Amino acid sequence: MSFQPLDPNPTVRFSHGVTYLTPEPVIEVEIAATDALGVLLGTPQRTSVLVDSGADYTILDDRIAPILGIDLDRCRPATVIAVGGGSIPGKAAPLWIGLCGIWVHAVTIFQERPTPQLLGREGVFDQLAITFVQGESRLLAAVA
Amino acid sequence: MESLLLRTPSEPIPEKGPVVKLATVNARIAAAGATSPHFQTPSGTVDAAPAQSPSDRSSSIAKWLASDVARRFDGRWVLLNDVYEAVDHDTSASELQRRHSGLVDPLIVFVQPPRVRFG
Repeated sequence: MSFQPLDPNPTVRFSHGVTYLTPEPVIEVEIAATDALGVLLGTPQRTSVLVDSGADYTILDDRIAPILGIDLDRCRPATVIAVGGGSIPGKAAPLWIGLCGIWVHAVTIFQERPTPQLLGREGVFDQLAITFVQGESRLLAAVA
Repeated sequence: MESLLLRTPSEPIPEKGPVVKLATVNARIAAAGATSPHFQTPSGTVDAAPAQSPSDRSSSIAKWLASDVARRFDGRWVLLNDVYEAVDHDTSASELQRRHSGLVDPLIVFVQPPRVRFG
């Protein structure tokens, strides 16, 4: 297994601490939705997400969903439990996420104005081994 | 003597060309005028690629995705034409869609690679 830089030219420095304060491990990913067969639905987008190994799921702004061709009214409701307690409602939908040269299929939660958007473990960490090199302010990832 | 050279001998003949409605061809011929006294404009209007029902379309896409040809595009986004041939491909869905933004309803599919597992 050889690790490759997840973001070869990181513009955002980060530290890996107990809490995510700026600077943060933010990367740009490409996202796209397909039907069950694999046919592209809407318009793929590029967006920034905070890599969060503590998050179960990827969480994105629900304003992106219709652009991707996802009808949130037909998606199942999902509730995200925040770290500090409380719950935030959202809608869950499968999504393709492109990063580190591959596309991973991940259940994604769409919420109103999440701050920040998160790249969670489901789907993503199944196919990528991601490590935080705190001393060098870099993210590294290995594809099996 | 009138000579009508359609194609130079060295020019390869493509296996498939663009899909053009016969009506469009007729209109272009009519606009250009007759090129030969022996030439007659074809009559009738047919689609070179007749429309498929949604189920037939899904079946055709599934068949293509299961083909050996599709395996060459594992992990890539592929633009298919009306007869389910790969026209273009890219690792970026955005880039592929942008390149073909002029198409009304481009058929772009993702060729899912075999499930990746850590060894």
